[in-house]
Amino acid sequence: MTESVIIGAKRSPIGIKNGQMVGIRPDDLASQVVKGLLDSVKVNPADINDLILGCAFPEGPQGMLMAKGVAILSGLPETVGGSVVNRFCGSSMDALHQISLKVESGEIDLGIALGVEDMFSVPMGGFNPDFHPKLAEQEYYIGMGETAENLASEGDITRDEQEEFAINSHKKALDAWDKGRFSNEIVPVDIYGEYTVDRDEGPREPNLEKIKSLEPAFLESGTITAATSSPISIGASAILISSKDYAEKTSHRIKATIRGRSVVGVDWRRMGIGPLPATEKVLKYSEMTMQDIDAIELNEAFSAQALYVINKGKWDLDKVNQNGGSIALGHPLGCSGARIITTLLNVMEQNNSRTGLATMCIGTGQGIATILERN
Amino acid sequence: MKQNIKKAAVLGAGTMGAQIAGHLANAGIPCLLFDINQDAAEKGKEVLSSLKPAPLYKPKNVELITACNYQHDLQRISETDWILEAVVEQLDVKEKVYSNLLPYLKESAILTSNTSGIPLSDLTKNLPTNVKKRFMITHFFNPPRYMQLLELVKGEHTSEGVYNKMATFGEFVLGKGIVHAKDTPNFIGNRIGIFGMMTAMNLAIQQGLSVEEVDKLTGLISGRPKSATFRTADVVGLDILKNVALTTYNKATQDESREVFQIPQILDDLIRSNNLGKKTGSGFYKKNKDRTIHSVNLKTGEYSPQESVQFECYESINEKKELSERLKALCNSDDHGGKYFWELTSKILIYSANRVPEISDDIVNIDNALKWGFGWDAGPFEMWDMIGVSESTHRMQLEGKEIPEWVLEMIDSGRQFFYQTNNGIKTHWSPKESSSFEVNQSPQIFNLELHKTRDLTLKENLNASVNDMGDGILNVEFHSSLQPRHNPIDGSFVEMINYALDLVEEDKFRAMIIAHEGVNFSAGANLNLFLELCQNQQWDKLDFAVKTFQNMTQRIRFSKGPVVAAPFQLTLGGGTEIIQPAAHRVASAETYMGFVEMGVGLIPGGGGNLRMILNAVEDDKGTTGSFQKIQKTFETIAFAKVSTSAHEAKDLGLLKEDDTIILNRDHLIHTAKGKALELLDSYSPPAYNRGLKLPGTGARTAMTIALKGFRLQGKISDHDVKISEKLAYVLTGGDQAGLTKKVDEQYILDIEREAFVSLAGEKLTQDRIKHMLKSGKPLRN
Repeated sequence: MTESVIIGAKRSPIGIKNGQMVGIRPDDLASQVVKGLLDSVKVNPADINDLILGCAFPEGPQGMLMAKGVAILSGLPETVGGSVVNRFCGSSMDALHQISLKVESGEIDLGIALGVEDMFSVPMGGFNPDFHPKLAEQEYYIGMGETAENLASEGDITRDEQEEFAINSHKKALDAWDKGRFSNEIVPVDIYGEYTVDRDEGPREPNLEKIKSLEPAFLESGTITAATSSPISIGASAILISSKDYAEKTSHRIKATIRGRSVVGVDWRRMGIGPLPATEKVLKYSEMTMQDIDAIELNEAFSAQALYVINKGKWDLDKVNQNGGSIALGHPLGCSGARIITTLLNVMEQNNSRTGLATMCIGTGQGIATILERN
Repeated sequence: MKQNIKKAAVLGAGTMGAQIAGHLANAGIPCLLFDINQDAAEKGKEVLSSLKPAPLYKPKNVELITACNYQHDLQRISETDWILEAVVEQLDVKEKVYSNLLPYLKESAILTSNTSGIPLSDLTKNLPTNVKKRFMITHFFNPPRYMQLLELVKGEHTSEGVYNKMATFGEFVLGKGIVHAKDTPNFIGNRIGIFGMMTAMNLAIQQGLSVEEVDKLTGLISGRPKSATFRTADVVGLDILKNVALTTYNKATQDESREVFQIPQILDDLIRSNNLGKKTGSGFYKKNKDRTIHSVNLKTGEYSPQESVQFECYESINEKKELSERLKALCNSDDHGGKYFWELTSKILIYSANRVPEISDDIVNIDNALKWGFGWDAGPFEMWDMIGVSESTHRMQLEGKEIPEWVLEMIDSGRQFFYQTNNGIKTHWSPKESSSFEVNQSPQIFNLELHKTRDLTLKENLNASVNDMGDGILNVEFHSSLQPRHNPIDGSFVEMINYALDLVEEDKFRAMIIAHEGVNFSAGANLNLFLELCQNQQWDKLDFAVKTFQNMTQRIRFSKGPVVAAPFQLTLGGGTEIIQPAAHRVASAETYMGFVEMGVGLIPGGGGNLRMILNAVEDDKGTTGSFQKIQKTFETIAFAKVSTSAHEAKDLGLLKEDDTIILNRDHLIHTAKGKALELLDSYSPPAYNRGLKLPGTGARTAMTIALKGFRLQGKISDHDVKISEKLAYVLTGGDQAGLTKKVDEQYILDIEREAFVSLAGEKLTQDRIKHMLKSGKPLRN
């Protein structure tokens, strides 16, 4: 069987509330990242077979089959297809899975998996939420914060522990920026000729006094606050995937081989546990154990959720999110899967790691995971 | 109206300067706000967003203000048409500021000072003649957004054109009440107002009254603001009070009562010990950490818990609805409270009369200054009329008080009142001419009270009237006899509105306006009546009453001739439901509007939900879906949001985008009538809406989940959840709406009424109503 490999990965800076990124159209944002990706890896655009875009709320400015629109805005030939995939937080990791499977099956040689989310122009829940009363009875629409509170109490994770985790996320991200460890993955974004954004807006020096003073955000007697939740944000990320043959024939450096993929369903009231069974499944598929993994990108929906997974899985904290995570950077839903893969590739290169795991939890009760390997 | 002031500059970003800039922004006028350095200017601008009460109609207005400093930005003075100076009250500083900006002053620009103490003639001494012509004093009162008074003073060189332009600008654009003052110390408002405060203080010390006793007598009961004397002093700041008093003392050397403006020991002591009033947390009153309030003993200077005030006369007088009756009774009461009040009042009246012609040639400007600048319900001469001029003058003479000649002259001429109204014409006595003249009034003011003296009331009950306004326009006026300040709604309002609508329907009149001159448009339904029905479990009667009200609101909506409503101040609950179905609204900028039913355990029942739905669906702006619109509406009602201005009421969907907002409340009725006439031209009532697309059960399920989240966060109670779910049921269109379905107006009214009546039957709701009636505050249960 053909191997699928990653030959390029880029992302935009991630913008937060009241930041400079608010106002750019999500399709414009995504196309700038695609252009930036293709500037960094000079493939023949005519070779690109398909473009699959992950987005959690594909309506309004993210509607009308945004993937094809983004292909056009990126200047790709009309022969390139486009598809939107929605698996909520796991959308663009799913896009990567789909492109890599197409490559491995021999259907295509080269494709783009990307993700974008503008959580400011399309609200979570969409413009016209229309919920099924029977699903509501079963708590299918449970708030994400509430699911994380469930894990905090189940795993005895204190507020202090969560805050410490969040503070470290910010510190690691700031440090990564200071040391230029993000520069390789960022495509500076032009905001309609007015100015350029070239740095994540989320990471900041933690203000301990403020963090301690915050009211619980979801549960009156709860432990989770705004400081220990990933912020509402905007961002895009894109990955170029090809067959190993194509990469070798066209002399493109292989960043990593996609070794394994997995998706699982879990209890939606505890959706944050998703990475645990997803990881178990992908390790089994890849014939590896946790000891074989050198670097981990675990999406930080909430401190409590990430800590629950790390504690239960007995993961080595030093391997997790070495350049900071979504609590600091933001979690633009549809973008985050491709974003953590992009960051993982960089971390692996910077640390000269051989194997990497990217995994995330998904609202509605799912987990998704991917294993990458460098040669 | 033609308006030549398109951009302004305010010099000095202190409390007054910044707030004046803020009010210019409220009026849509871009403004440069200067101070000695950029930090100070920026700080002044920032304060506008945090100050209470809010200086801005909405936070966004701050964007019209540019912070500037004298070193780098003075050349930008050339962009402005009006420069208002509000720097420190020191002549040399002001002169320096003027001379620095002169090179950049546009040929046509007007320069004014907000000084309250420095004579205009001193300010202009070193100005070139062509600038003197364009110089005058514009004296705002703090806080400038809320205080109606704007005193204007011209110098001997000020051109008529410049003066009139500022007067028109102040009245129309800034919405102020203009008082024409002379160049005398503290002009009119502060001269007499501070005399009143200092006299109140001195007499209290002499006669041994406590701080809280004085405030009880000089507050609402006597037609003054609730903050009365000492609380007002605390709000103003005791240091400022002292400075203003000393200005009169030092500069009005011929004043026969000059000694009143000397600073009493207690005031000096408080200032010296940094008890400056509200800004330092203590003055005459002191707010303790445990939130209790103590008052100062005027003799010892010690703070102690407030004592409940016992005047024999108080309760019986306070029950009287008419200010004139209360004033008369207070003056004639035998207890120590009455004696104090009479002494204080007679001194103020005589002092005011003695100020003519020194500070004003006529009495009208004096009365206006006290009403607009100090919040008195009646000015000194109006009060004197209420007490009875000849009787009270006789009493003063018996007590050896010296009555100004001109007052005796008026009485001798056979005239009994300073003001008289006959057949729509109001006259005032002119001391200067020793005869009476018609009171001049801006043509923009439709004086309903005066108008009604021409026998133009067609029908009247205890709380409301229908008046013929001329030109085929009717007026429905509220004047609640039970609660004149709040105009609570009951059947008598409905009766008058329906009567007026009948007349329009019968082609006897062409249009109507719902407008009046009271304190508040209406603070909502009469809860007493409502609670009575609930407690007697008269659900059918309640349902009928609600249906009658709903029907009336639909009649307003579909009236053959246009209905224009003119809300102002408190316009809550049922008050909002009356104005919303009208064809158009002319709102005072100071309109505090919203649905506060949640606080008493209810949802709107008189068509408010239908109106909010129609506003949300019809004022279609942005790209949001119907869920978003309904969700926003839901939040407005469920969180009982009350607008802090008419502009904000638009943002909340309470008013419509094309509704008229005016800054001068006195222009409201005239403007509303004009709007009715304008609409008449091509008026056809709106079509009954059978095609309301509401998001239905699925959306309601989503909203219920959000409510559950609030409950988990401890932000709302179980009863709040219950009420909110009923509200969500109505707003999402009950059982018949959905993404593929449509409902009509009556369906919404029916499910609204059903929800309202069912909530009324809840014990927790009734507890909320009882608590509100008892304490005036919402109960959280």
